[in-house]
Amino acid sequence: MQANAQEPPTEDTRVDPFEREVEFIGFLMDQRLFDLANEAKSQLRKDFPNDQDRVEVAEASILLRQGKTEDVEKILESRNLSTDTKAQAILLQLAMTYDAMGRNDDALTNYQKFLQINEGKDITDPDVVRTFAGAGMRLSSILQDQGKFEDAAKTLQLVIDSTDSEVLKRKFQVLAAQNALDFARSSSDKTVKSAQLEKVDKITREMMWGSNDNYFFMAMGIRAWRDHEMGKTSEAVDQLKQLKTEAIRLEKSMEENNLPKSEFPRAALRYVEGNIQFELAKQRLKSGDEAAAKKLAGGAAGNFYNAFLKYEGSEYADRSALKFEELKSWLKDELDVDLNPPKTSGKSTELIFKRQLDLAESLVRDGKTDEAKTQVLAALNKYPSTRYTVGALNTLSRIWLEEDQREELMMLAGYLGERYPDDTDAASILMRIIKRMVDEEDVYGSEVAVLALGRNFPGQPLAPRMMYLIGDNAAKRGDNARSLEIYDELLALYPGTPPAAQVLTLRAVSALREERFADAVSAFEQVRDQSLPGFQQAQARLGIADAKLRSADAELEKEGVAELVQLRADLDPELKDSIYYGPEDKDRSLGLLQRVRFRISQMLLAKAAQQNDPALRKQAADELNGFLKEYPGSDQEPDVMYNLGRLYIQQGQVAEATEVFNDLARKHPESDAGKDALYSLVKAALEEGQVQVAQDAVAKMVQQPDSYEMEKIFQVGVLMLQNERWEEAADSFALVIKDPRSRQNQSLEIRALYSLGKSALGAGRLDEAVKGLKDLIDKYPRSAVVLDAGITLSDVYLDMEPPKLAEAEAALQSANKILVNRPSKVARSKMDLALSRLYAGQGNEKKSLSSLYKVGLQKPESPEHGALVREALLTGVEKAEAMATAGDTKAWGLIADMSNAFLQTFPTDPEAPRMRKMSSLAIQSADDN
Amino acid sequence: MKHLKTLLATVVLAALPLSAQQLIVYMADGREIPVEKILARPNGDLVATANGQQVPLKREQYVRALGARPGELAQATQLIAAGDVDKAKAMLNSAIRKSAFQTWDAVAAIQLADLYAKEGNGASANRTLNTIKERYGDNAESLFPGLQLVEWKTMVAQGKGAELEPELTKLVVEAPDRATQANAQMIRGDIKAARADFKGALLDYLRTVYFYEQQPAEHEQALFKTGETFQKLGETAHAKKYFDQLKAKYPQSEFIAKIPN
Repeated sequence: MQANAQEPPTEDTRVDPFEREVEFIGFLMDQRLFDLANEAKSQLRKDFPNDQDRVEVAEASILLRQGKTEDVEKILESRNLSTDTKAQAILLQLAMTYDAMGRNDDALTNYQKFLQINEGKDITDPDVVRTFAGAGMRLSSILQDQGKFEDAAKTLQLVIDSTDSEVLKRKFQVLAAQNALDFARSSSDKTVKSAQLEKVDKITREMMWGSNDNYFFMAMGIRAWRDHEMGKTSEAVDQLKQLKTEAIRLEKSMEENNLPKSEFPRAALRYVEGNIQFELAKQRLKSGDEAAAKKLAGGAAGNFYNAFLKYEGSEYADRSALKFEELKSWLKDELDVDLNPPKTSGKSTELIFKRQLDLAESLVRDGKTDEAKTQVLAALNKYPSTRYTVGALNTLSRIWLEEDQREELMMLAGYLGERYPDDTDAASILMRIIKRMVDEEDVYGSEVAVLALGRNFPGQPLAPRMMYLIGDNAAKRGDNARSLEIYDELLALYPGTPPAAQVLTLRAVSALREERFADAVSAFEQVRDQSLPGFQQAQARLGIADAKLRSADAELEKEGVAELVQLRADLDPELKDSIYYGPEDKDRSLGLLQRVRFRISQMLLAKAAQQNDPALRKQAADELNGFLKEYPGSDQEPDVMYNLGRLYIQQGQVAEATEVFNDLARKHPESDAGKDALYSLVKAALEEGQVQVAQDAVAKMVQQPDSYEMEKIFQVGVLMLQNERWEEAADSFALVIKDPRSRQNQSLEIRALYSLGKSALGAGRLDEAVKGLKDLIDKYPRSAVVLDAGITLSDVYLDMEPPKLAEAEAALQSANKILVNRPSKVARSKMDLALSRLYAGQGNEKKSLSSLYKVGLQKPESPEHGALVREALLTGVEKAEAMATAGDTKAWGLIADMSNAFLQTFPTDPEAPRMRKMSSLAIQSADDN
Repeated sequence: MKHLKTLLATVVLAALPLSAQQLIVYMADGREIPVEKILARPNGDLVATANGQQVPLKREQYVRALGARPGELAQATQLIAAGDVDKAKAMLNSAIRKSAFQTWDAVAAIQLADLYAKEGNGASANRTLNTIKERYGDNAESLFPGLQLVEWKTMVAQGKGAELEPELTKLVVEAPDRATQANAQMIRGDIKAARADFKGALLDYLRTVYFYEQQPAEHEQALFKTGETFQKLGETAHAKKYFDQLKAKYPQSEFIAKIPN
């Protein structure tokens, strides 16, 4: 008989453009190009308007590739599975996804659901047919493992009946025959056994009438095994011998045609022969013929080992591997023979390792993680360094993920980074570990794994983003020093990436806030230099110009102006071939231009005030009016109108300014700039240094209080207080307190009393301040404001010559009563700082320091809290230094603690260098002592 | 250069008979007449010398002639390799004139139009191709398969991508040969890139990378264009990945020199 090799698959069987596109989207997902995959998915909808149901199947497939099984479950909930074949296709894919995830129960449930729906029906939908064979094979395998041979048989038969492909049909007939044989062998019921062996006969006989392909030989192998089961062992052995030569010839032809080893027939033949030999060996031993038993066992071992080694992907190869282990144990137990595979080297070693790995993966899929782990660890131990080692580590990672062994996973992350830098497979393993750590909110684990990725896998597109996120998380939990370290590493490893630009921008903004203008400029310049020409670069240029303008350095300001004007010119949308106005960048570039113009208007306003130049004022007015005309209703409109009002004040046009502020208050009452016209006028006047205008406005208000709301008068008072215009502030607050309208507004009266006290304090009128604050505390002892009022009063008493300590203490006791009901960290910290000052006034420096220490070692939970912590640490270190210098050596320990806490929490603070020195000094001095 | 050679190969292989030195006239009735010499008149009429006899042939009597290969073609190739494109263009123009109606004019014209199209000079590319189309009429594309690709590039250079796109979409699926499918896919990507639809362009280049690995010339170019487009989008990690693939699979590729630092 002449054996026929299968034809190799044709190069391009992707005729259906829809199928082609779905396959391409799968490729994009494999490459982790998720953005592009989504884009392609959108295009699919547009390009196939008449195939929307197929598009839904494809979209479900994409969701499943991302592991989003819950989303797909939701989709299926609203579909009628009995009649909706596309939904059935999705159901099948869902089952296969669960299968691949190792969620065997879920996979089985969904597979069986599918089978129940389709029992007795023809399967014709192309999207179902595409996946049904693979699904059928997996389901039957799961069912067999569970001993459900009849269900497995039904599944296989459904595939056989529904396929048009002769090759597929024969493949599944082999599986069906094997299933029947396994059923027969596992059953003790003679009737079942007999019926199943009959079935094997029927299926394999039918297959003899087809072509003499690989499936023919497999079927004959199974047939031989059947004969052995029926006691016709010698016929079985003869048959296998007869098949050998042709099978070898066929395999040679298959090899020349590059067909996969999983389809080669001799794996099955060797397995069957090995099984027969093994069983005969057992029989011989039983009858006392040890020599014969050993010989047969040797033959079986050879068959199993070769089948396992040479036929990657074949089920019979996997069976052979397990059988080999069983044989090894039997030989050891029964005959005290150690069966060691022959020594190998080079390619053979790798092959053995690979095959052991394949087996382990198969065990993992079947949920046998313990066996798989043993297999993998044994293989790694024996063959620590092959080209398949990463594959073994991959299997091991899945096992450890299943077992949630975090320590092992972290160790593996480090190992992968060290030994397999920039390896794609190693990176995939790391990504999986990272996902687990993030899902479990394991902060330390996430950092270890992400840093391993970032440091060692520069080709991974997500690495810089991940490093940014862990840095951000560190900052959010208050560990600013750690955040700084991570960001520094990100900048060093991935300059020019969007996350690096984000870090630099954050640093620039932080530097601006702390008025470190040179640092801000430097950070923005780095962003500019590392960015491609386009929007990001332009944004950086705006940052540079803004920082220079705010620096109060004449040279830098001049540069800033020129750069800002140039940027505006470059962002002109009328420019031909502009790089800023492609479809993706158009909107944000226009937004940027708007911000640039706004900044220019602010700059002109400031310069006009500085230089008192009418030409500049005109330019500023043109710019501001132009902005209002071109961008009506923009977010910046309130500020622009406010600046226009300021400009009028600069020019001495108070009436025009008042008109603008009235207009502003009418149009934008919700904005800070527009909440009140009077407020705006006073504020603008103060900002322009037009104190007289502000004073006149306040005087008018005082003369005609009935024309104004009390709250508005209060706000003006606050404005005056902020600008240290104590008299005007006090006048405003006194007005509020005296007015009968305030009696109905307790909250306003309380705030006015407190603010009056502070105004009097600012004006140096301590007695008046004391009276105001005491009035407040006496009248409203339970008000929350009493906390601040009590602390302020205490400080006033301490500032007196001589300090009134008893009164200060009494004031703090009043404040403390409030604290009992409102134990916030900020309130507690304020009180501790005030107590520190009291204790210092009482001459008790140790107690004073103790209060500061208590506040200083807290983790800030808000900017206000952070300011208090900072104050406590700076004052505390100073105090402790004085104590240490005076001979209290224990103070060095406290200095070390507080300076290190400062560095941890405020690593970029201007005082950080000094704290660093203090820390070194403290550690050294503590050692010396 | 390799890419250009491939382009030429598709033309020349279609044109060449078994012996490159043989001059032949391909008659309209299907005969192939070997000749010793060919002279062409401006209107396309030929005076061929066969067996020492002069044979006048009207334009409608023959499909095309295969004359002596002009030396300017080889010179142009060398000049292009040396970077002297202007001189190369002059050589090619000379070849087009000298070899009118004798196949080598089409070979030279395709090369010249490709150069113009690369520079974005669609008008000159179009003029060059029109010369050939006038000479060879409706047969031009079937006689010279490489012509179609350059026509597409010319249309893109002329800003007529939108017109061309539907045809290319059809060809991606329906063209009988995979090289045409791959080229149509990539030109479609170029059209999208020209209107700053970089994601769309990337998808087309990546389709070529994925589906046409067995067409090395197109595959190589697609790998480069993919990397180049990722680079434009600032996605340097992805860009590096595809440039690395290009270097690994095609170490002699002319595109490697064009990879930005």
